[in-house]
This record gives sequence, structure tokens and C-alpha cells, in this order.
Amino acid sequence: MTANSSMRAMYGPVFGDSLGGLVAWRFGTFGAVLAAVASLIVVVRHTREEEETGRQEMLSAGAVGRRAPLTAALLAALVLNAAVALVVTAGLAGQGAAGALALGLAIGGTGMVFATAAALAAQFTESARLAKGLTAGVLGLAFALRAAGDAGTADGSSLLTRLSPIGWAEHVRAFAAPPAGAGGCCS
Amino acid sequence: MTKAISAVGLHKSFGRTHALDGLDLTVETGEVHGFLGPNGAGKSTTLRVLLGLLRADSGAARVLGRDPWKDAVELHRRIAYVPGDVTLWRNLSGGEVIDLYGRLRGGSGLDRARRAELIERFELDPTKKGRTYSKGNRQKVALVAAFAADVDLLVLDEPTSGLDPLMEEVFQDCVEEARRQGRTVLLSSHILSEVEALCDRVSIVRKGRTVESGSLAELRHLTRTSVTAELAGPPNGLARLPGVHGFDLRGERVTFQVDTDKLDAVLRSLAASGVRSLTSTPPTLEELFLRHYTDEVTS
Repeated sequence: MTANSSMRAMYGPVFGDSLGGLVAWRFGTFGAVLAAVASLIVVVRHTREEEETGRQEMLSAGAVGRRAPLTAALLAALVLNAAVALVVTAGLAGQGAAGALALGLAIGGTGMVFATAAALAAQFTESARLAKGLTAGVLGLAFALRAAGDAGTADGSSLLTRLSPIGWAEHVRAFAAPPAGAGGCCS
Repeated sequence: MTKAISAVGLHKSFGRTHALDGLDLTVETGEVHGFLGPNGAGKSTTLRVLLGLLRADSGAARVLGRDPWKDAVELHRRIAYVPGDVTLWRNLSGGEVIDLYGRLRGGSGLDRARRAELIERFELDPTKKGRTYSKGNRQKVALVAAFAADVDLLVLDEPTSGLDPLMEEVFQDCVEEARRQGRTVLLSSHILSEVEALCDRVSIVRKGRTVESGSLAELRHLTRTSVTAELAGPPNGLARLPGVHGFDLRGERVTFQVDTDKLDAVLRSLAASGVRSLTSTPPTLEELFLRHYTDEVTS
């Protein structure tokens, strides 16, 4: 399957033929994108959207610090992604704890990358729609970079893949056989 | 510290729009201060600067003796705010939002008895969800939270724009109570009767500047009293007296306006002609208000 470049573009390269490896292959990229979408919605919802609707005004008029809304939104995203990482890790623990944890953290970590991107977009935009749109655009670009990179190389070693946050999740190589010279730390 | 609010030369621009253009405002501790002006005059922007929600480009502001931008969090424990347009969370009930606003100030939240009393007086159903409330009811939620709070300063931004006349009366009672409790109230308003009934002093703003500030009596002094009289004899030289405007004679009936500080001489002249009937209408705030705006248009 790794020989087929369009399959690689969709799912990335296969790093292992264990059940865990195949789950990581089929679900890893998809899960990372889902976590990213959920994170960007949560962050924009609690920053730009609160301000746009006017609800933030009464909150800011309370004894609440100026950085509190952004901090709270990022904390909410952190809790969300930690929960996702936990569920993935717990669900796949039977296939190897290290691989399960690596996949969970890769997916949750991608969520946090896009939570941060959404937080930045929310500072530069006036409407929640635009903030979500911008972040979704970045997500689309990240997916396209990874897809293009993976279509071109069989092992995900392309520069394009390395530029994409979704490619970073792939490069965690959950459930993969450790690369030569990496020692036994992740097996 | 006798001044609850002092602002000098506030400037604030949003892009090319100059929302505030050297605005001054002084509010004494314990007074109800009316803040009047047409839409877009910079009233809400001023209030947001005083609450530390916006940072003025230049100018100095002190609220309760502190810097509204730097000390915002500390100050907000002593201030209750009602915005002109209250937006609630769709799935929180009115009662939950009132409690949330109360607890946002820190401490133990609102006085339960006072909260219940105000909900009763404003006839608010606190069990309904935020999405089902009308504009007036959303405003009541913020008003109950503000009047139930133990604060030194109430900042109200056109708080009655969605209330019916009955609730307007309840609102005025609540402001009176706040005054008796020694709280300072800054009330931005469109409704002149409300300002006349409640406010000790008013500031009128236009295009981001304060055009007039003082007690209602002082401001009235600057304006004209309307006089209608039926005279026994001819109005000898009345029309040429200083301070008389818009003189009109129809038979025995004269109508004119007179600068309030020239009233004495005019009345003597009227009396000399013999007066059969006389009505004199003191200037209303409305006339004061309109004069400021029309002056601006003609100049």
C-alpha cells in the first residue's frame, strides 16, 4: 500500500504492520485533523466570538484580568486535547503502551498547535468566522503539504512533510519499528 | 477624595474615526451624573475608557482615585456596569447570569435578599434561558446584578433603552436608593425626563468633546424661558430689550423667549404695559439639548 502514492497522500506512509501500526496509519492523520478542527473551534469560540457577541464586555468589566479570556480558551483546548490523547492512549494500550502514548500525544499535540494558531488568528481578525476560516486555511495547507510530501516519498522524509504540523504528528512514527541507531527507547 | 471620576483631554481614535476628541468629565463622589449626547458622540467609548476596557490614546483619567487601565481588576471590584446592549449566554438562565456577574467581582457574590427583592421589583423570571429573553429582559438581568452589588460606582450605559415605562419607574427608584446609600452613579442616557428626574449634574457631549457641564440649574441659566402674555396696553419697546428673542405680537397677545438672566428687566417692562395673563415656561433639558445641536448645525 505504501507503494501507491495516492494512498500515501491520503494516509501517509505505513510505518509498521502490527495492528497498532495500521491503526496509526489509517487514523493518525485523520485524528490529528479532527483534534485540530475541534481545538480551533473551542479557542475561537471563547475568544473572538465572546467579544464579537458582546458577552466579553460584562466579563471584562468584572474583576477579571485582561489576559484571562485567552488563557482560559487555551486551557480549555489543553484539557480537550489531553482528553483526546488519554482516550487514544487508553484505547490502544493493549497494542503496546509506548506506541499508544506516542499516537495519543501526536494527535493531542497537533490539536494544541492549531489551538495556538486559532488564538493568533483571533487576535488579528474582527469576526469569529474569519478567525475560524483563517485557521482552517492553515490546517488545509498543512494537510496539503503533508499529502504532497508523502506522495513524493515512500517514508515521509520529504521536506514538505516536515514543514507541516500534521507531518510532525506522522513523524512521531507511533508503533513503527525504531529507526536504525535510535536505540530501544520507543519500542 | 471627592471626585469619583475625573477625566481630562481624553482622545481615542479607531482608525480614521476620532471617537473622543479631548473629552473632559468630572463626577463628584455620591452624585448622580447624567451623560448626554447624540448617537456616536462618544458616550460609550468614554465609559469603556473609564472602565479600562479601552485604552485612551492620550489624556488622563482617574476613577475612584486610581488609573482605570492599570488598576482595572482592583477597580472592577468596586464598580458595577450595565452596557447598552446586554448579550447573555444562550443556555444560562437569567438567575445564573446574575450570580455569575456577582461572583465575577470576587468575594461572596451578591446579597441574596437584595437580589430576590430586585428580581421581584423588575418582574424578571430568572428561570428562563438567556436565548428566550427580550432586549428589555436582558437589560433587567444586568440591572439586577448591578443594583444588588455592593459597589461604590455604578456605570450605566443607556440602561433603560429596552424597558417599558413601568420598569423605567422601578429603575429610577433604584437609582434613588443607590444615591441614598452614598453610591456614585454615572448614567449615560437619551431619555431627558429620566436625566431631569435623577441627575444632580449633567455633562453634554458632542463629537467626542464635552460641550456643557454643570448642575441642571446652572445649565438652565444659560437658556431661554418662553413667555406668553396678554397685555392691557401696547408693549412699549419690549421687543428691543436685551435678551428678548423671537418676539411676536398678535393683537394683545405677545410670545417671545428671553434669556433667563434678563428675565427681571423684561418682567418690569411687561408689568408697565399691564398684564392680563402670563404663562412662562422654564427651559426644559430638551431645549437645552436641541439648542446645542442646532447651534452646531448652523455654525
